[in-house]
Amino acid sequence: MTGFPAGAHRGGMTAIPDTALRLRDLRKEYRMGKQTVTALDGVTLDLPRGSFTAVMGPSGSGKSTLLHCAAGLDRPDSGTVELAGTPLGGLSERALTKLRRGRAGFVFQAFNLLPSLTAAQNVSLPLRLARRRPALAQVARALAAVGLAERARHRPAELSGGQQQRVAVARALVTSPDVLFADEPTGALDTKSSHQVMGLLRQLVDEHGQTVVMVTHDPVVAAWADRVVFLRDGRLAGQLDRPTPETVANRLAHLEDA
Amino acid sequence: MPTQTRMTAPTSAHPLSGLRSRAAALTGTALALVLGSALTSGTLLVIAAAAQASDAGENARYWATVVMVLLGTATTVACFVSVFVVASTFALNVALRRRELALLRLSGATPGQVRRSVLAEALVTGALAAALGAALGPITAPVLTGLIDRSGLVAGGFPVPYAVWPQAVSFGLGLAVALTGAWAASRRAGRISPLEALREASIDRKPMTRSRWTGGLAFLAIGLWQVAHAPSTSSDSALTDTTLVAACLITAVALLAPVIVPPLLRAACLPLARGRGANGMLARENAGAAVQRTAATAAPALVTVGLAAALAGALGTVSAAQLGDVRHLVRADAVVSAPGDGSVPEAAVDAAAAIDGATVSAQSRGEVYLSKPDGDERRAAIGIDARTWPRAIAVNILQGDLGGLSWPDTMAVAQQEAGDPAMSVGKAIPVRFPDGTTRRLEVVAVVRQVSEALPIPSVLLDRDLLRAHDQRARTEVAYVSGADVPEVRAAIAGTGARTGNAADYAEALHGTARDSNNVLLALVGGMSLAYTFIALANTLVMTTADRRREFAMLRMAGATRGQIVRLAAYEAAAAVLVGALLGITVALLTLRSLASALSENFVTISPVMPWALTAAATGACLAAAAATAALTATYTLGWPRQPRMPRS
Repeated sequence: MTGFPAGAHRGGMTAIPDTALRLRDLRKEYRMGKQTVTALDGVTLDLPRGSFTAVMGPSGSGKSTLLHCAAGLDRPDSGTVELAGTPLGGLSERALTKLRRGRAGFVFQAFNLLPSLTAAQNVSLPLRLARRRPALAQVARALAAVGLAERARHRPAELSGGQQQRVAVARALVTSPDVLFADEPTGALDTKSSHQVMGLLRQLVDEHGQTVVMVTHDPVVAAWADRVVFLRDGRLAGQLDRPTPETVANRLAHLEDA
Repeated sequence: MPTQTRMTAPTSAHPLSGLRSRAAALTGTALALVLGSALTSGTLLVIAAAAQASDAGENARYWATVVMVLLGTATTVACFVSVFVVASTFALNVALRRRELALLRLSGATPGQVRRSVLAEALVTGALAAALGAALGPITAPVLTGLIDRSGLVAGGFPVPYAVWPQAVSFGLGLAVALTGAWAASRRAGRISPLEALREASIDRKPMTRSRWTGGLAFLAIGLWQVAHAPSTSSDSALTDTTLVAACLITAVALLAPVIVPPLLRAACLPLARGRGANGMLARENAGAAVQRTAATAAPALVTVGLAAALAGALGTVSAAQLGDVRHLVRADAVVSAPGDGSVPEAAVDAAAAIDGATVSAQSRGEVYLSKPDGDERRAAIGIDARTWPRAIAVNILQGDLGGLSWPDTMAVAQQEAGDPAMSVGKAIPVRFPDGTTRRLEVVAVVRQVSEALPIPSVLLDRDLLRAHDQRARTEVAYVSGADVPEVRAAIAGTGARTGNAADYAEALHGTARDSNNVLLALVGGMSLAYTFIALANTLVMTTADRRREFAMLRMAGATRGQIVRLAAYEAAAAVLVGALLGITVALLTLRSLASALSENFVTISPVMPWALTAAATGACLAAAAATAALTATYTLGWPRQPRMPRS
């Protein structure tokens, strides 16, 4: 693994806050026809720089909504989100997009690669959208970091699920984001590929101080994180440091009972 | 940013399906633009040539007017329809690519970047297509003049010299059409949220945007206002007025289609949904869920059937109004006229006059020069017999007495000439005749033209006076009272003149106009039908390819290939039928307003709806839709291997 420029090492001029992500009293309601569903009901959470956090909870507990609001993809009804020290509230869609470009990276369950572009082109996309000339070396480095240097010219259809997800990770990291957001990153992968992708994320945190926040429902996957945060009915329902698959499963089971 | 315009397929389904549907979208837009630009460029070349030729003489001037009215209307319709095709194609293109565009947003594209990428696509496609179309102008121009020549409308064609500006103008117009059409779609694309990349369902979200509501209701209000307050119209402007009203209403219905079409379609499918088969139920429910697809399939039929029915109906209604006017105005029992621009032989006039109890009023047409301060001005003149003429046709005398024409050195003038104080009743002015003599004629009466169907020229003279000084004056008609048509026909047999009643005379008078109308109809009808085929094929190829997954699910549920192909054909045909019905409604509304405007003259006109043509246009659209849908469905089903597990 050679030199992944992660957010923690960037921009020596300004003081970098210790907290990569600061959430204060987030509330969000959805209207489904005539019913109102409360997705977030006052969530307050701080993610330190260089931490690896898993968010867990039963279906409909608000995990994905929390991730979307934290990443600036969705706007909370009330409460504040600070991404690397910048409050997101009141930003225009354009400003928010530009902020996300530099500060946030995304990996999702469906690999979300553009099928007509090669792996290298997919990785260079965020740079091109930011009108930064993508240095070939930069893209090559990102692909090498996820172990796919020799697959640069392949299109998604010619790659396995695990390889596609690793391309997605490379794309998420090519802009050196402050926070990497992952929503069920292993949801569509077999055990072996899943292990590879999680190992990659763990390595990013350990060796490069990358901040990662990940939503999952799989205790085995969650156990790769430093800390697991549990969510129920839109509220925080405890946390677990240095998780193992067993302790996570156990806590989850009690969460469902309660 | 070249990469942005190269990024193509939606992430769902087979990657190639996206490429194909996208290629289809751009092909449709390009074809519509090539066709429109080629027509515009050719038309402008012909108009330029006509304008040049109009200095050459009366025939050329007439030619030029006919050409400008005809081709001008056709070009306006072409621009309207191509904006329409481009707009609906791009709207659908964006709707189908929502996930892909959302993914771009997720990768860091700002709304402006997404918007500009859609516009850039329109710009590139538009530039290429418009350039090709403009270059085709010199080829389409002779085709257009050939079409007009063949109609026998104008004797002898004229050469169309090459000019640069028509091509430049049509290129610019093509680009403008492409950008106008893509504008709304690009706005919509810019509003796509990056979160949509993470959702799976492809059920249409909010197909009615606020701008769609605003635009649709505004056009509806303008259209209905025009229908309700039909301004008194002349038969010349009837065509333009009708096109305008119909275009307003069609645009309104098309914009509101996502609201209007699905309920109608569900109603139309009701009988089948009650049956045991699955097609009725599926088609009915799909129509509700896939609003964009349904609306985009119905729209081309709406435009074609609506425009064709409204235009043909307008021509028919105007023609009926002219016929009604002539029959109402001509009081004579029989009318003797000459074929074409010929003259009724004097022998025929004498023979008719010799019938026992018959009174003949012959009318000759020639020209005179009025002496005006700026020099002599040429005027058309008719020579009449003042004693018998007012009994032969209805005349509206505003001032003076037509009887005064029987005195020497007198004339009557039409209303439009009496505006000049020197030409009011009692004044005398010098009038020069084609044979060179000049006489001072005193104005004895001012006459108003009652209807354009029976035109009255500027100057009315005693027939003998006109014939004495204008050797070329021709006897255009002889009205016979007191003898019926067979009697007169028998009496004048062998003279070459023909006899008929008022209706026959109306037909003879306005046959030429109808010929020109038929050329217009052929042009506009053929063109909009071509556009419909492009738009329909486009829509169906784009949407059917996108339905691979749905079809796979149906196959898993036990549907045979044949059932799915029939379902696709049935759905498309049902949407087209609803579009055609809406088009017919628009045409009926438009024609009602036209008829009431024309009725303000004095004869009540009922709208003439061209049912045969409407049925033919609807049938053509239905056949095209069903065939294209069945073909694309067959092709889609035949692609990789099936049935295939749908990807979740």
